Amino acid sequence: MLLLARICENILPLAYCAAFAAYAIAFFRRDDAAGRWRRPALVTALVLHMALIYAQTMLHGHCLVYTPLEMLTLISFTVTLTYLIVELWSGERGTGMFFTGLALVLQTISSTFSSPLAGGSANPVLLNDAVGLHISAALIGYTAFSISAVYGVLYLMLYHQIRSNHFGTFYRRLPSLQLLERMSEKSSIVGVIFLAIAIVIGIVYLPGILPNFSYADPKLFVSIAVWGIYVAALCAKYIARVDGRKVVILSLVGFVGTIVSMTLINLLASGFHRFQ
Amino acid sequence: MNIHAIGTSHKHASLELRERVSFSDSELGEALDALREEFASEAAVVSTCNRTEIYLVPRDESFAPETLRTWLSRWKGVEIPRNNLFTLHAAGAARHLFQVSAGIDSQVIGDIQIIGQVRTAYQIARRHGAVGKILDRLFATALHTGKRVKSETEIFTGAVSISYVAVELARKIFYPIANKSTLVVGAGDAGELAARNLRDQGVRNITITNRTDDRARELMGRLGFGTWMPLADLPSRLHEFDIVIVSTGSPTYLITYADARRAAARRQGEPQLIVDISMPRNVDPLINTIPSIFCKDLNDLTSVVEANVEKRRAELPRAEMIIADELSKFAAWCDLLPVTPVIAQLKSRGEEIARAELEKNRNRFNPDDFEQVERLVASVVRKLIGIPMRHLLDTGSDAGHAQAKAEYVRMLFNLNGDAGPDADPDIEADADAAARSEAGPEANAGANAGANAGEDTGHQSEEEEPNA
Repeated sequence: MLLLARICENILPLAYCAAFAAYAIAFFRRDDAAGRWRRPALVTALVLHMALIYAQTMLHGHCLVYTPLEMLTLISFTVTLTYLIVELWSGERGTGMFFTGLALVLQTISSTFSSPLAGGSANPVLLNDAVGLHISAALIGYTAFSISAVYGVLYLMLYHQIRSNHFGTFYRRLPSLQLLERMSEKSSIVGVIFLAIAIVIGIVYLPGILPNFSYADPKLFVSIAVWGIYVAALCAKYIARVDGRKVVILSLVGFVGTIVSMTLINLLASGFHRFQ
Repeated sequence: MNIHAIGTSHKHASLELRERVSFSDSELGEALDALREEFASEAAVVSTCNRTEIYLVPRDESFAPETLRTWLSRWKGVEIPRNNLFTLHAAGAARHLFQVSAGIDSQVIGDIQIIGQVRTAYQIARRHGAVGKILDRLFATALHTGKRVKSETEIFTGAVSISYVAVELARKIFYPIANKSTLVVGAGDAGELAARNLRDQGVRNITITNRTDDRARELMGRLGFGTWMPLADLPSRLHEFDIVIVSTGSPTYLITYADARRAAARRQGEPQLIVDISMPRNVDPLINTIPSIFCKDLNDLTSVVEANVEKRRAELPRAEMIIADELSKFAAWCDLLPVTPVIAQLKSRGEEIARAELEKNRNRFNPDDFEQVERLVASVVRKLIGIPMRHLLDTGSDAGHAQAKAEYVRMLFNLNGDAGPDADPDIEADADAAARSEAGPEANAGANAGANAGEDTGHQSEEEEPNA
């Protein structure tokens, strides 16, 4: 199992790199061969990723949620899986380069700084059902925000090209503005719902489960703040009827805020959200 | 490769002459029959608004292209000057058809309609039994070439007419475009073309307005769809439309900044596209500063057209490389043509001898053993025949050498007797397949190219434009 984990961990960034390269070449050059290899490369990366998750779970006897690096690999996996489902469902492959690029970055960081043996022994708290649900909901929520951010960035790029009359590669290859806006918005809605579930479970059930639970935990504050920004963006869209570009910018502010604050908290602060 | 092509196109003749020598679909069948009756063993005619081209394989080796020019003049009842026609032979004819199919011989480089038009010509000729082995392969390869150029280059991408750029822009903003409401201001040619292009994209809700109401109604009559709106209502109803295309001869702004501002407020952040293709401008350019409105004028769109035309031109060398590649495969296939009937005869002769010997000795074996002996003999015959077959297929690029080899094998195995090439169509098909596999895996692609290209070009892709 250790060997499998080591192999997968080392090969996985290369597999994501291959998928990213295939999508990028097809995006920029309309290359037929790259076009044919896009999906097989993506599926190969996903299969390897599943093998890694399985091997590490078997090695440590718990799911990969101990450390931020483990969360990164899980988010990378869920982003890729979600994109594959969207691609199969909509037939739209123009955005694959950006999702595989995101997965490549996340997985490379995870593979570079973690090792298969770095899991340690399982904290019994993590075996609790409520904690499992809390973590899963948070994971889905943040993955949805990541996907929303990718669509948001693409929206702004296309918007800028149309506004400035620079009808380049992005203009030719990307789907329409309204579709990108809709995808970003729907992902935000999914993120808001799941993060709300994670927050509610955290506030209601975790004080009874975690001995050192504190309402002053910075992650709790950040999660609520991020959730608030996304809710504000959705309200701006549906109630105040603000135009799509402003809504997308507001959502991106939420995403950047999430990344920056979570990174700072993990580096500087300590709290009950550390399980090692 | 005894293929001849004769014809005329926008490069050789005036529109008037092109009109006079073009063939309607209903006329084609009769013309193909006449061609075959007089001098062709195979024939096909590609006839579009920009070209009329006849491809044929003559019955007689000494066929002169002049005969075809005379025939065309006689058939169409019009004197066609020599310099208004082109005549091509062998690889030149094949290359020309591949270039036509790849859209690089069109008036507008990358005219997507041409692939469909070549396919139609091929289908009509097939339906009339005018296509034999050579033209079948030629047209299948031409369609395959068109498909490759379409998928491997940017020749067919990017709009190259102002009205289509406007429609493409609308498709890049709205989703789905079909249920968007559109207003066409102006009943001139540009407005009509834009309305037709939008309709082709599935837009159903089209309103037309014009300074003179009669012309707007006339345009609706010509289009067969749309609703009418008085021009005076434009400022108050501007917010109702997602896409507004303005093309009139008005000397003043028909849509002012204040109108657009009011409309944007009433649309509550919903995007709106206003395209002004009038000269002088009919839409205040300041409108482009409103975040939810995309306002484009003739200058913006012309730069897109020019960039797209340039981009298509830049792709020509890549398209030519694909054509050269397909042409060499087609030539290799043609070189093998003389040996295919010999291979069929050889196979047939071997099987015939084996069958006769087996029948003679049938009583010497019980039924089970006989089956095994049958299999053994078949295997020996296959291996024995395989040796000369491989030599026959290894002709290089010298068609004369292939012919000589074929004759030698024919003499060696006494194949000029009863077992002719048409004795067993299955055997000939086997030999043909063997020849294809010897020529490489790509040679087989052409055989299926017709169907493939058909699937691929039946609908216009997202980036295509009906620029006939």
